[in-house]
Amino acid sequence: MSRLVAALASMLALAAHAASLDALVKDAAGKPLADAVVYAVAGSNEGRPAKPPMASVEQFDREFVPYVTVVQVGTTVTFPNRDPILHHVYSFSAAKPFEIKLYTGKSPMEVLFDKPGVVTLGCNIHDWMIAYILVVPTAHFAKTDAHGMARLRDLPSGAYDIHAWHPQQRAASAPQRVTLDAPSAPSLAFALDAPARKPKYKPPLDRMKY
Amino acid sequence: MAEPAAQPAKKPWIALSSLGTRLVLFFVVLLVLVQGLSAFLVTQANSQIARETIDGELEQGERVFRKLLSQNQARLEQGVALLSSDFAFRQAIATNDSGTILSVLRNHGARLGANVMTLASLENVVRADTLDENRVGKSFAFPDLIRLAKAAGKASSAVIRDGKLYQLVVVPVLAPEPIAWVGLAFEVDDRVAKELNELTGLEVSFASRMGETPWKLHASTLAAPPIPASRSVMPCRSVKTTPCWMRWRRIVCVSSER
Repeated sequence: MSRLVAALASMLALAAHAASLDALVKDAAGKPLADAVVYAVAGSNEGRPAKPPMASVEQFDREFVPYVTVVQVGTTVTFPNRDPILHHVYSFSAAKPFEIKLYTGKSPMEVLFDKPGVVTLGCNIHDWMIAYILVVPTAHFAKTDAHGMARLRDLPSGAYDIHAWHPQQRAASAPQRVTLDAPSAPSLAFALDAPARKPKYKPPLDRMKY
Repeated sequence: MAEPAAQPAKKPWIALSSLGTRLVLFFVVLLVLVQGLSAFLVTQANSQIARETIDGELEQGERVFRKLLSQNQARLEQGVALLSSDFAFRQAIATNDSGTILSVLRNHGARLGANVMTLASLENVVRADTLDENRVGKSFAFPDLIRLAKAAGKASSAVIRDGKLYQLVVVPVLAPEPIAWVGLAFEVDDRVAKELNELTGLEVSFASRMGETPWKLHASTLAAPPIPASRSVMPCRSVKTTPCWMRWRRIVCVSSER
């Protein structure tokens, strides 16, 4: 109970001088880009980060859900399989290569993402299944919605480099530097040259199911 | 004295003046002319028919030939695509260990009967080559195929490498998005020509040239294949049927790539 009170108190204290930031991400043609990640890296050292909460990437209806996940370095991610069939999740990405061989239900292992970078997930037996985990060195991140909007909340005052990233981007975009003060809520705009996602052929379910 | 006077009056033993003889001569000459004319016409017609038949046969052969080539190409593309999506293969490529990569390329290439296997990075730089280590670190010699494979998921073309003719297939290594390009080259040799000969009934030769250089023969079903004259211009997509010694031949452009 006392911990809860303390937590609430610290949140209130944080809120007292915490700023928020809106970012609008568009593609090269000016259309809003969903599933882009916006994250803020503090100019000065943020101090020792708390252990970030766990995250999960599910498999449902023979797809990874969500398509894009963003986690802080040090996050443990589980991969529960909600399908009645098995999946074989793997990553060959330099930031975190791993493999969870054919399984269903609860994730047989948790994966610790201890290096920043892009991790591309695949399923060995379903070629169209693809998802991304962006591992970022900050706790301040958000994903854009269908309107290309992302809101970073509860940012302590200070200088930040705001980055935007999208799985289909052709080139990394330059970060934008902002200095946040408590009441301010600036909005930034990013343009990423990211072509539309071309999903691979997914065989339809037939009477035999899967 | 009457005798000398009688001499000029003596008729030759073939009496040209006789009506019967003239008639016979007329018909003989006529017969020769008619026979000669008909022989000429028949020869002409025969040769015309033969020409058309050969032309038709070559045309039909060419259709079969082209169909076989494209089927062969599709078969190789499918094989290479299947190979490159093999999990163990992708895993071995992802290790970034050059010895392992070279070894898995050899192993998997042998499954399909490929002669040369090359791995190129997404930036078109050769990372492994089973025939020529010196190519490692240099740019991939056929970037057009990578460009095509980028758009279509796979690409193939006839290419010349170190003077040899190959069918080169390029596909991405997907994990599950491209992490590298793999190129498998299948040499076009006499065995390939022989297979085509068995199916088309045509004698088949493969020759190539770079720009205006003389034609170079790569494979043939003939002991002494007719090489096109070095001067002969052979723009791609045009098909020419020309007499060649006692044979007829048809030159078909298989590829205008390098």
